[in-house]
Amino acid sequence: MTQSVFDAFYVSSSLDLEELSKAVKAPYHLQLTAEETQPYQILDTFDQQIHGQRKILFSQGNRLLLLDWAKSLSDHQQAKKWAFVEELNAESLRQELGYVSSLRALLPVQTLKGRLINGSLLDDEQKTVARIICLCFETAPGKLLTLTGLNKIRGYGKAFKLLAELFSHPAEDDLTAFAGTWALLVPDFLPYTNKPQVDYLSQSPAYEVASRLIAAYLHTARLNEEGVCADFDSEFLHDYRISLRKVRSILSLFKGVFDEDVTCDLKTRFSDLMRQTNRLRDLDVYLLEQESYLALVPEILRSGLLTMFEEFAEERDRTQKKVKRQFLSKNYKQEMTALQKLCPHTPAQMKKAAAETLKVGSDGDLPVFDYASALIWKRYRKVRKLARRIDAETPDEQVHELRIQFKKMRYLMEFFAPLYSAKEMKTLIKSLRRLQNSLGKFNDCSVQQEALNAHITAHANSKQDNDLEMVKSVGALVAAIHQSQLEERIKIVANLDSFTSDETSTKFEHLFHLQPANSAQLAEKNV
Amino acid sequence: MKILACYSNKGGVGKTATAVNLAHALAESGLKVLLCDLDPQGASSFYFRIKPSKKLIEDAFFHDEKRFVKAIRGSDYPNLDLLPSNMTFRDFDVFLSNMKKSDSRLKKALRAVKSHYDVVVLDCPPNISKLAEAVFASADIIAVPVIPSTLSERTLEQLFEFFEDNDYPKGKLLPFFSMVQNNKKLHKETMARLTHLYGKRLLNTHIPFAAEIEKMGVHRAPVITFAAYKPAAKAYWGLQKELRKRLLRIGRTTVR
Ligand SMILES: Nc1ncnc2c1ncn2[C@@H]1O[C@H](COP(=O)(O)OP(=O)(O)OP(=O)(O)O)[C@@H](O)[C@H]1O
Ligand SMILES: [Mg+2]
Repeated sequence: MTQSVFDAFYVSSSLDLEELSKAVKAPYHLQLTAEETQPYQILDTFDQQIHGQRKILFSQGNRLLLLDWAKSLSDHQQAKKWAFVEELNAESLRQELGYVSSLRALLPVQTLKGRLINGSLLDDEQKTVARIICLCFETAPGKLLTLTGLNKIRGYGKAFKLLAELFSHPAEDDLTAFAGTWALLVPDFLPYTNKPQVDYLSQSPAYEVASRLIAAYLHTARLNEEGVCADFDSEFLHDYRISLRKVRSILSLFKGVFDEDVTCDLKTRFSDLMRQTNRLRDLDVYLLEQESYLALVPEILRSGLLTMFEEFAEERDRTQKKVKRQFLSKNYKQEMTALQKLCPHTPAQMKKAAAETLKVGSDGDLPVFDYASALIWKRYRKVRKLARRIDAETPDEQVHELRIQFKKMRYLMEFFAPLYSAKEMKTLIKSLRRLQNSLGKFNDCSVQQEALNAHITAHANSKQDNDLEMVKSVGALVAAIHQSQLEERIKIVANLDSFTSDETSTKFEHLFHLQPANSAQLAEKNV
Repeated sequence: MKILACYSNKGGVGKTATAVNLAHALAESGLKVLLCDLDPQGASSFYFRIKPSKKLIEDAFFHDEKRFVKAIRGSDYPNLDLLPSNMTFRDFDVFLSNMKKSDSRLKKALRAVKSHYDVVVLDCPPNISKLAEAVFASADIIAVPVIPSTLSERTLEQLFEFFEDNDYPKGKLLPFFSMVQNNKKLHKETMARLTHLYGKRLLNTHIPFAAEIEKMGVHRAPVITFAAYKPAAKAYWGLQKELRKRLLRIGRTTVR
């Protein structure tokens, strides 16, 4: 069997194999082997990356079958236990799934009863000249869905064509689209995204938009709790924290939308929540960076670093268990439910909440478009002012300040993106990306140096040989990271010009300032 | 890409049996393999149930990359393709040297159909001819089956002499014992003598004389597929491992 270059794929409700066999004419004949009905699982990442590419991965025992919509159905063996794409044996399968994030584990999405039928089209020498794989699922009592893949074998194009012709009848209506087939296989599909969409009108009150954004991000955070507890992959915690951080930024950036006391109380409560997972995320990051850290120090110093990573791995284990206990605790659940209850859904709830619990602030009734434009415009000018003051000589503190303000500006732009022309926002955000990345890396470097120095301090007085070795290695690593930070700083300065340019200013002004007449006044009010 | 030839200047010593089972075992081990059936009798093709291709008889074949690529057939096994027999081998040397050049039109044509072969295994007919000389010049390794009998001893000597006289690198020649019958005194004695004479040139693996290998003609399949646990299958697997290691060592281009 050669990697089939031209394959075909068909979907139908059922497939009469007997009829198919009869339809095959001499000198060919079809040899079929049907397996027993077995439970099959559909696997995907939590954020459905496979589904997003119109592919479906089925697993049964040691077997993996990948359906590439409208192209092929391929069969692979996987003896070892695995969770990530890079752990797959079959190179062709790894390649086909190459776009799946290496940080994401594959998890069961759905279990279905299915039956696999493997077939070979043989010629008069009993040579296989084409292959057929059928996966037949019972999607509901008495309802079948059959996925059929044909694989061509090099040099036997004619035979493949003959076989493909037997399938050329038009597909049944609801099965022509990927979505239709997917809906039959996974009827209760609930897509997950870490960027929840909140739809609103430009005239909606800012209060309503803010509370709905908080509700959406809080919900997103909660969707990740199970994955954090089960420790499927590190992205669950990452998304959980990003979602909570978004909530906190809404509270601190959306000035005047909520009552001040309410804002203050909520900020503390969300900060408390975040703090519980700080260490676990830090450790995750160190462990994910292990390879790149090792590459930064000379060969002879690596074993010292490995000692540190072993310690990190152990600590991570303990910390994960602790976080899990916290997430499962009564206190935690009560707090989360209470926070979720605070955010109103229906207009009636909204009214009640605005008056009683999540009290509305002085600017909460402003139309969100005006409110948002003023906020972003103001923040942009602040960032621009900071940026203009930075050159190669300015102290690091100012670069950090720029990063913080820049990030706030970006968050605001993200929260309010639906209010503006998608195309213009996209080009603007894209033009900011390079500076944003450098600022991010610059900060990562300084956080890492701090953490590693703390690790050194903690072991500095140790009398153990391998601790001494480790301290030496970590010292070398800190030096290397410091070097990267200096390089990032140079890049930041190089990218500032484009950010402070008239061209970028005009774009910001056009989107967030020179908008309908009445907004100018309100903008002034907020500045 | 490496070229591994199964060759002997003597007939019926197990060249085809070796080429078929070795190509299959190498493919099973994960390498992408193209087995070229150079024997007009088409024995390798027969074992893989592949009919000889009529289209290949014309002379221009090895100059017409597209036609050549079209003639390749997928076998019933993963990673293994076959170029069926029945061709005239004029310009075969052109083909072999094009196989080795990474930027030849032939290589490009193969790449166009996603065929990057790691190893090309050649099943050669038993004589010293123009074809054989092309093989001697371009193969990276020439595995030579030797039945441990007096006659084979002489044939092997002739092959080494021929390499010597014509300045082919003798290091390419890797003889190994084929159809070994350990209960035969003559076999044992010959093996001892040849081991003494050829030393580390000889491969360690011996292919035993085995009924399963003869049965390949009935099953029309490599021996591992129907008698995986018999000594013959194990021997071919061992030969694969030994040769794979040697192939890896050759040249700069790496075999995955
Ligand atoms: N190890 C073995 N044990 C038993 N029989 C074998 C063995 N190897 C080969 N044979 C049988 O011996 C015969 C010749 O083998 P094979 O065709 O492989 O030799 P060859 O060198 O390719 O021959 P030719 O020179 O005709 O191409 C075949 O019938 C084959 O089945
Ligand atoms: Mg032969």
